[in-house]
Amino acid sequence: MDSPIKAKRAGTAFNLFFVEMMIVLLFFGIASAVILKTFVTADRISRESSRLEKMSFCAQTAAETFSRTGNLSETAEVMFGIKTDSVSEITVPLDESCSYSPADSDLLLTMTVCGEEYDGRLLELRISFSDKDGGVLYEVSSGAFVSAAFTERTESTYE
Amino acid sequence: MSNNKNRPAGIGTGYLSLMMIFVVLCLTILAALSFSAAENGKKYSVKSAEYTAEYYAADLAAKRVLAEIDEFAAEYDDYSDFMFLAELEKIDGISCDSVIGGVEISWLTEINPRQNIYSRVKYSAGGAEILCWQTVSSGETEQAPLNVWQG
Repeated sequence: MDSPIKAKRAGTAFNLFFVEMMIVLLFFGIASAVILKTFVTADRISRESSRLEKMSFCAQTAAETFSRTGNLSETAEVMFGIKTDSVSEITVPLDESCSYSPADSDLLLTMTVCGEEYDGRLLELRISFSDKDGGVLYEVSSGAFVSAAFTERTESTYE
Repeated sequence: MSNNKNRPAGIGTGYLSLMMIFVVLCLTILAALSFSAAENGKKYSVKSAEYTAEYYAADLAAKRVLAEIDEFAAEYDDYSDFMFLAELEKIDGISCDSVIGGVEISWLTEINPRQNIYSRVKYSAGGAEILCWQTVSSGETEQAPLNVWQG
């Protein structure tokens, strides 16, 4: 009497379970895609901010070293151990952590002496970071004041 | 009893939905926190990088004033000379204090509306010396520091 009805009910529950699983999997797939994209975006933003921070620190080091030396080739040697004769512009290949990396570079640091004032005693330096495509990522203008009157004081301060 | 026997084995209808909602909720919260932390980190980095650029631009401007002072100073041996002090008056924003055997010159260079670089140099018979080259809050100088509790 009740056996056909029961068999039908069991089948419906079984089917319902699979229908629910299908809906759950579909929704989970969509939600996972959105969540994964958010994680990837957060990771990209985090990498970019870390890179900007390192570029900022590297620019500070360059600016301070140039301010101390007043010489571009000496600045490059102190910072990266590069020996060059160039006095007006230097391009240094860097990796993500702003370390000197001639083989595999992600960034290019360009230091340019873009101005000389007061008979060459005041030198203006432009520190520019660009990506492989040449797009400028970060730029700082700095300077060095080189005067015989202040040389003695500067040397004694940094010793 | 007969109903229990006929119930299908394993988890029933609805449990999957509940589990999925819980997992998705947890993942969403983690993703939102991760995104928020990354955004905050980026804001901090951008502010820090902007400040660095502003600072070195102001530092260059302050050095330009120093170069201008030095150019006048190069023409004199006696820095307490009246003519030298008169020449310094031509430079905007500097203040001169006559000291024994020379002059102390100070000026402020704006980094941003909240901070300045305070520079103070001394020209005397012993040569030129930078006495002070530091970042100060707007309105604060060596002579008039900010009125804050010192503990």
